[in-house]
Amino acid sequence: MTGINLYINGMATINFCGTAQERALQPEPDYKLYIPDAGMRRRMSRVIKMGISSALMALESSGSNNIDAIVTGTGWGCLADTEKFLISILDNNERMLNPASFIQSTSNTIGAQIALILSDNHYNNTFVHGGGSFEAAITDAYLLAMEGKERILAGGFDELTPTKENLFNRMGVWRKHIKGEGSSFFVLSPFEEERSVGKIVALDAAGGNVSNNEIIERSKELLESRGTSFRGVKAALCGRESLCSYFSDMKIETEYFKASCGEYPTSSAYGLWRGLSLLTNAKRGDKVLIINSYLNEASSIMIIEK
Amino acid sequence: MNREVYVGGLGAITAMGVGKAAQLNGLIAGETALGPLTLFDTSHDVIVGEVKYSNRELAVMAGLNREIEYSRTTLLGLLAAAEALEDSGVNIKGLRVGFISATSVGGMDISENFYRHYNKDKNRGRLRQLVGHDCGASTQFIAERLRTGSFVTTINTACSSANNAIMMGARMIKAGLLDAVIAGGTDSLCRFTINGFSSLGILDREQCRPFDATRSGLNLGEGAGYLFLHSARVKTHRQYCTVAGYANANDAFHQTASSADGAGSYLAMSGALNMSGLRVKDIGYINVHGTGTPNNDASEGVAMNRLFAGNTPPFSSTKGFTGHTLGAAGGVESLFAILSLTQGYLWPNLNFRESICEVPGMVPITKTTKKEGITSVLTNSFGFGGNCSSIIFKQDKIGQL
Repeated sequence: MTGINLYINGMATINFCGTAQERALQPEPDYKLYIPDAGMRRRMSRVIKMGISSALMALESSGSNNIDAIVTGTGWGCLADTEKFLISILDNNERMLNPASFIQSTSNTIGAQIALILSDNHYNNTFVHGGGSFEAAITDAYLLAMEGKERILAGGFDELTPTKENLFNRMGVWRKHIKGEGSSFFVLSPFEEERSVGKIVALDAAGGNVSNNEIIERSKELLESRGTSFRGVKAALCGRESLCSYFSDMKIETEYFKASCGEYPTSSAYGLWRGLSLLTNAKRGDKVLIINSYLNEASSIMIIEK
Repeated sequence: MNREVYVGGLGAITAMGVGKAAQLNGLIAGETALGPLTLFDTSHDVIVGEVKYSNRELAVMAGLNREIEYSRTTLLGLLAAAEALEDSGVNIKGLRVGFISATSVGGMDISENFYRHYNKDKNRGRLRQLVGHDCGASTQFIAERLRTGSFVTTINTACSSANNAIMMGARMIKAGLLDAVIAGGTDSLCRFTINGFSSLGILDREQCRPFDATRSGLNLGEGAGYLFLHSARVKTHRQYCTVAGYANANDAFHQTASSADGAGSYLAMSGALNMSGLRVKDIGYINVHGTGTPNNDASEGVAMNRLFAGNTPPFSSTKGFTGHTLGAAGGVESLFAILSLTQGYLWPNLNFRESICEVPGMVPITKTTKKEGITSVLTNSFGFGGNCSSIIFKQDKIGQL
């Protein structure tokens, strides 16, 4: 998709990355500011708290809680609640189960909770397609903007549970990737505002497991479709470390963004947040390229512009 | 430019059988396909709508290696999606064809087996079994198998998932991003959902009785249903109907319960109607969500009564045939609604006796009824998190079944 002009008029992110000790040292947001009910907070898993809080923070930064759609993406869904319910089935031999974790295990829990908090009756959708989940949510947001929606709340989130950490360890994933979890939300609009931090102008989310050469080639094509080339790129954010040298060789400012968010299916949402942060002091027309790949499964390319 | 979205192929598998013909025969016969659970052991005494084939048998039917462990969701989905594609008669070479699938359990049936071992010892459990756990894994596998990879994604908004998948597909065609999409959903029975709905106290031990005063819960089912959606430039064997309207709205009332006034379902149905440009009296049949839980049917009934000002069109819940197929429900029931439209039938709402106290006098269709002149049908799917989605299919002037 290249004919996009999706302005970002509000955004927020919460992330934890690195070893368990490192993650424990990273400050948690004050969740009670966003979820004041202590009982609700206690019942909520990490991803639900991160998701709701980052969504409300993004709305706060946009200056208004009015929205006309909520779209979310999550690769792993509400993993902790899913595990909790699965374990309770086994441990209690299917008897006297508490439905709370079953209720909260559904992937659309966060989108639904946000709607509930905001009393929002509008469109609400959730994509659960591994490393392409956030990209699908952005695709939906693009369609919504074309259909006349003016303020779309879109986000991506995933949580790292002890089970996921252990299983990925057994699979050898952490030998090559940094552990991470997080949630990032954006208020998207087809209209520019004073507070717009930038806009998404192109997205290529069709990628499966592709080589560095192929991803560079596709990035080039995507830039060309916007009438520019690598020369017109102010910075490149890479979600695959081995891609960085391609850009540094071209003397383009380069960053491996997963060093600060870790690897999880919707880490590209953090990549978008990071890219937009780089545009804060940029001049109009400056472009940032965000290239992501999630493990060996999915890849995407996004161009954002001031 | 013609931005109409057409339905040019159908595919389904449910407790009634494999393929759309089996669905049509089952619906015309008016006989339930619900029965005791035989697929796996559980301590719950439940009635379910299970597809009467083992995973190995399904794999053989789908032309897959039966020695490989595929999730049941993948097998059911592949069979129905392949049927929808074949039914269209389209050679997809050179076309931008996407696959948008809904599922709420994904590969949970296999993850459950993994967890049984893992729960005892964190170093146990075959890691290979987790490859298909992701909701997206079944979708990706099917898309690669059918070579419909121009856009592939998975939606999970619980029980309304497949309606949202069909909407997403129709919107992408309208936006000119794709020429055709196979859209719908797939879900298999598993211990997770049986225990989940049981813990909520909304599983009926008897056959479900949607829209009946004595209803006391739902029966779970499994299956898959897909539509081949396409733009005017794609030529299919048959043109079943057009996707005339759709809307997704949120009840914003409770994570699992529906509001007493059915705010979300009212907005979804009225939104779909507004988009279609049709009048309420143009709707010839409604395939309601009608799970058979006291809460859902009351909320949906109140919303219909309000929207249609006391003159609700002929309607029925087909959950008494197949059980509630969760993430697949919107796909399966869109197909039932389209069969009503193209074959000229009103499907019966099994086990109805007395109308619900929230809407006295609201009576669904109770016997399979031949009806000429149905030009538009509505189908509802509502899910956890207040997620309500309605779609309207309209007879297409050009071609009919």
